[in-house]
Amino acid sequence: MTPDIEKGIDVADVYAVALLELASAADAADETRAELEELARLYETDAQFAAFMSATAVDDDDRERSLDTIFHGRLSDLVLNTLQVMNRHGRSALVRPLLRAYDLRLQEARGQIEVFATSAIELNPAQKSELESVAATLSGKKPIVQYRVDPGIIGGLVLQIGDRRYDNSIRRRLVTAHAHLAERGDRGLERPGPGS
Amino acid sequence: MNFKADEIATVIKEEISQYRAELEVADVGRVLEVGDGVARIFGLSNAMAGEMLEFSSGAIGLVFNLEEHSIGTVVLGDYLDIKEGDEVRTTGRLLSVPTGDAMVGRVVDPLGRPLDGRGPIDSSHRRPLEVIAPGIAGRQPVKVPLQTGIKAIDSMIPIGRGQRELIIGDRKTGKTAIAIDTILNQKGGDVVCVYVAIGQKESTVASIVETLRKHGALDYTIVVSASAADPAPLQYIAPYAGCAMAEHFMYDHGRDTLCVYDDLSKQAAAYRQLSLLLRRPPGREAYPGDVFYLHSRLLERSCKLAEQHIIVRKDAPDDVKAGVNGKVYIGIQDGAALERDLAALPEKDDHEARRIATSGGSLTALPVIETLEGEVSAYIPTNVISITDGQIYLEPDLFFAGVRPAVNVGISVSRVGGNAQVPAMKKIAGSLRLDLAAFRELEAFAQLGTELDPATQRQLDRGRRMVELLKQPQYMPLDVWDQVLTIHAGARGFLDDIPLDQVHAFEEALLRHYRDEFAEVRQQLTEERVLTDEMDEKLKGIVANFKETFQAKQDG
Repeated sequence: MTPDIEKGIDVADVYAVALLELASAADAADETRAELEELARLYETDAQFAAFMSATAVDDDDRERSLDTIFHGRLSDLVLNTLQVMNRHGRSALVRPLLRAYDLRLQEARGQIEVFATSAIELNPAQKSELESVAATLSGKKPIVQYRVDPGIIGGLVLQIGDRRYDNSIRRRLVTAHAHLAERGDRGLERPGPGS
Repeated sequence: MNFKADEIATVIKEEISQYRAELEVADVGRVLEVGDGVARIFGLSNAMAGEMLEFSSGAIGLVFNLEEHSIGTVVLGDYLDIKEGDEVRTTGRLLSVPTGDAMVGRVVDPLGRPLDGRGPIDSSHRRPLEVIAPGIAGRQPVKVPLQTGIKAIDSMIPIGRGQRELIIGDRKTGKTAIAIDTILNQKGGDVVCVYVAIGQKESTVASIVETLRKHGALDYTIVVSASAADPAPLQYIAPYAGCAMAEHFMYDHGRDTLCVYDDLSKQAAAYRQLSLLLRRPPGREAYPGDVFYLHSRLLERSCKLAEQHIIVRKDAPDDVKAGVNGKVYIGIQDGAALERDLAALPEKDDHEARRIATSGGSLTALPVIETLEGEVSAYIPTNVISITDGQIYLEPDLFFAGVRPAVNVGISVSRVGGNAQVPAMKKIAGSLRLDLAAFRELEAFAQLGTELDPATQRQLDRGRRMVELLKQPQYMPLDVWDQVLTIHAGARGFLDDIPLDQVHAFEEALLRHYRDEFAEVRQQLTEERVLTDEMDEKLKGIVANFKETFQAKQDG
């Protein structure tokens, strides 16, 4: 997640909570999520759309009419209404933070948690399932794991569950050892070697 | 230092073989925005208020605001290296600073990093920056004086060890000078001093350090500096860092310490800057609502710790830890129980009460506040006045009239007062303040130019000479017994007919006379600590004789 998404989450969360409640009541939480994802993709790929949603020069009433014209019949009423409400409050630019906030709230409601696993080489299925059970134990929730391969960590595993990161990579161990030795050198040698 | 190549290799080999890789577990977040010494961070939902954070650039941060989806932090150090999107880790620790004997004589920043270019500091102790001050039971009333060496203060506004005495005045009235003279006067004593420079010019701090070095004061002083060029977060934590360094000596070694915070107005301004940038609601004068707490929690950490005693055998070694009956007697409240238990012992003649060496320490605070245009009823000055145990007011009018130190003794107060004075000084300075106050009233009267009756004229003469006597050059603190002797001469009227411009010459010559001719009298006074009537008469005789010689020399 990038900082510009994270910056808007505070506000987007308010809308996400409301949207999720309504979507869950209509048993359409996943469909709603899919629609939000499409909207977010549109926002990312179509620069004109992004500009349109975030420009303060566009009058809110004009935007309301345009949104209706563009999305009527293409988006569910629920999502379109949400967009319109956000627009009325001047928050039409928060499409991507809305998706992110909705995702987080949905995961929370379902007892799930995002997990990022970084390894130096691709993990095999047995390793993956072991990792998932470890993640489930550590977090106490159902993990949704995203796997990444980064040869830069040299070996070992970096597991991030929510905010908490478990770093057992070789790269990190080398960095720590390096810092440790450098600190000792900085202080000077405290005891004479046996061979002196 | 002369290393041998195989020494280095051996030690490093040992380090490597002993190195145990541990799983690193930390909470990570990402920087949303950074600037002006503050950073907003996304994530870190488990961060706690006041927790220390590490930025990927190596800077340290302190958690300030806890919001629902982000946290506001202050960056202690260089925030220019931090970028949006950088990773931040929690450390699970509260902010702490290095402390210990290795810090004495050094000039450090509020994180304990050396600024004096004399190499790294190898200190094994650390203390948390914020601690809760000892409670009522852990304290003891302030009874032992902390001599400042300044006549006007030690006589009329005495400071005790464990007291908080505010030095307040406009700019350039000599506030720092009083603090520095107090530090210089601790030479040869057992007080560890910490001078915290907050928001000052680095050239000023450099000259203060040089002054301390020149007078040999650096041997027992730590200088903590967060200059005006340092970011606001460092200025904010500087006094707490200084206090923590002093507390090491107070708690772990039972020693007396002195902390000078110069000055707290700048710390309040730095705190205001941080709070406003992190969008805390501004209150009066745009200061945040907890600016009182900022100062009160700092100053409450100054105290006189209760002495703890145990009953031991007289021949027990010095480092004995436990008493024969396993009980520890804390402070004055357990004094009666201590005596009773000691008397009740079967072999009471072989036993004695001994103070636990690490107890009974003290931390005296001399905060400095700068007022604007003499406005002591402004927000921050009134806050700090209500927290401290007294104030020393410095006035520009007095300063420019030549009265230096420019202490207004009429409105300066020490709430500890006579309890923190040696008995001799207490006796001799007893009525000094009232005399000076009466003199000030009469002085205005005298300016009318009317004919004055002899009693009034005498009062005026005495008053003028006492004011003259209390003037003192900078960097020349006076030993308390010398102070007693000079004030005695003045209070007993020996100066009344000495011309004003000769008062200082008289004082100097008199002190020299005492040291040269009557060293044993001075010694007796030092040992007895009390000014008996007999001693009073003896001293009067000495001064009278001296005065004759002095006046003869002046006339001739």
